[in-house]
Amino acid sequence: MVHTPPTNTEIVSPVTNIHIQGARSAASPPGEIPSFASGNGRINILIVDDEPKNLMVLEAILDAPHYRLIRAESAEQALLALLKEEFAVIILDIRMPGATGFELAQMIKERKKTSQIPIIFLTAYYNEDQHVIEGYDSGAVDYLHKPINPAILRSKVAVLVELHLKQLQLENVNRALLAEIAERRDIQEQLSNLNDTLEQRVLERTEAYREAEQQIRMLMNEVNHRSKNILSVVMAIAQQTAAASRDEFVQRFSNRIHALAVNHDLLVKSQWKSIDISDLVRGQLAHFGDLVGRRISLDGQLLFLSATAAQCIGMVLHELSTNAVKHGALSSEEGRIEITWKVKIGPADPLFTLTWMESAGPPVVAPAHKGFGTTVITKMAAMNLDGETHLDYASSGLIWRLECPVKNIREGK
Amino acid sequence: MMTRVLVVEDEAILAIDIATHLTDAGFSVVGPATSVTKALTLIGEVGCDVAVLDVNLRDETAEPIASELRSRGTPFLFLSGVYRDQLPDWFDGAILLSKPARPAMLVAAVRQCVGNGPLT
Repeated sequence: MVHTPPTNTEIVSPVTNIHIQGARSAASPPGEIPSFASGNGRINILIVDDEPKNLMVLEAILDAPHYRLIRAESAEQALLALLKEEFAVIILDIRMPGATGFELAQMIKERKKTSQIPIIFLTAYYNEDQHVIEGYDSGAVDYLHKPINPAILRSKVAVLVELHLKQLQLENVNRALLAEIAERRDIQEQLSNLNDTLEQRVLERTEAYREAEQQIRMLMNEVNHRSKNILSVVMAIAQQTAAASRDEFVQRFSNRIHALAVNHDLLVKSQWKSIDISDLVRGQLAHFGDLVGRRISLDGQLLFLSATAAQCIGMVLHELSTNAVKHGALSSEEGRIEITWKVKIGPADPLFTLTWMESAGPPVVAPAHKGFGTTVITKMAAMNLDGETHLDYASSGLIWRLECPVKNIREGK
Repeated sequence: MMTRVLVVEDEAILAIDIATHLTDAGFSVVGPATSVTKALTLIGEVGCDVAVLDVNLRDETAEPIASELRSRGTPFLFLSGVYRDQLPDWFDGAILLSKPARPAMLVAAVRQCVGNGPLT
């Protein structure tokens, strides 16, 4: 026997409502529907009884907007429903033809997906089923005696629904936590990777910086070394520049230093290596302007000189041209100078020859005193380039020639 | 007999200048040599009582010359633009005259070097 339920709207008790609303709001943020709720946000409750009449009674008692009651009139129907949908609670009549409520419960509990769904058995007072029900784990299973007290059933269902909502909430929280942990681990890994990269970069930068610093220091030393060398050369030129008067000294010395400076520009421009001999010659003759090409001819192959050779040949050209202006071909209006160079390939090392030949100038007279200029074009050049120099005061014009192995004037010597 | 000074300097104009000053000061100049090979040849064939060496000779260093002179007990000094911090290990406390050196200083240093005998 079952009590005829009062009007549903009254009986969906405030208590039940509060429970459910509280649970739902905690479990499901707005817009999120629990997985066991149907599409319209209601909670599925499976009611199983072979008597349609009893099912109607249960429906009447549990009628509430947030419950969706699914009927099953046999164990088979119940199992089918359980396969299709998820449920928060199962209300199960024990006495059924075919598989009993107990057998169905057994199957439900054995299936992993449904094992956690709480079951409320409906049983009669003082019958032999009592001890069987008590054999179940409390919590997973509850029971009610017939005739059913609607308030108690609603209350029990509400508690179980709330419990499941809480569980679901926990699962959600757990999932969120796991996701967060995974995300954090991921971020931490990224951070760690970034850190490693950063550390690597810092190391690389530091190393690069150290190398750059070392290079700068080396460069500074090199600059210091070269400066001192050039100062030594300047000092030697000053020491060796002989002159009758102070003015004459200043003039000669300045000219020599100027020639050195011109050479130096060329050396720096070529980064102290591979100086085009043609550039070198033109540089030293630049102050003659349009005489070059008119009275001064240049002829020779493309050839690159080492810095040492360029400095030496530059000084020689300065001394030769100074002499030509003062005493030689450029001291008259007609005199000419031919500057030629070539590399002669022979059985021995290729030989480099540079010739300065003056003509059509005033008759040449060998000087009585050999000054520093002469030293530069003979001894110095021969010594620097490990070659030979020939100086011929031919009356038709001065002829100077340098011969040395080509390797002595090339970079790498 | 005049004291023989070996001059080793790859920059010819400096070599000539040094040689001039030493000659003027009454020394007999051996060389100048512009390379290690030439210097060693001169030491072997001509000999010297003292030597003035540049540290760097183009793409070589004066190390073999220094060690040859050391083994012969011949005093020598270095004349170089090399920064003191940059001196190689084999320099080993030898006298260093910094470039550019004033002629009087150079002559005095060579005299002192000879007077004191081997310095290294």
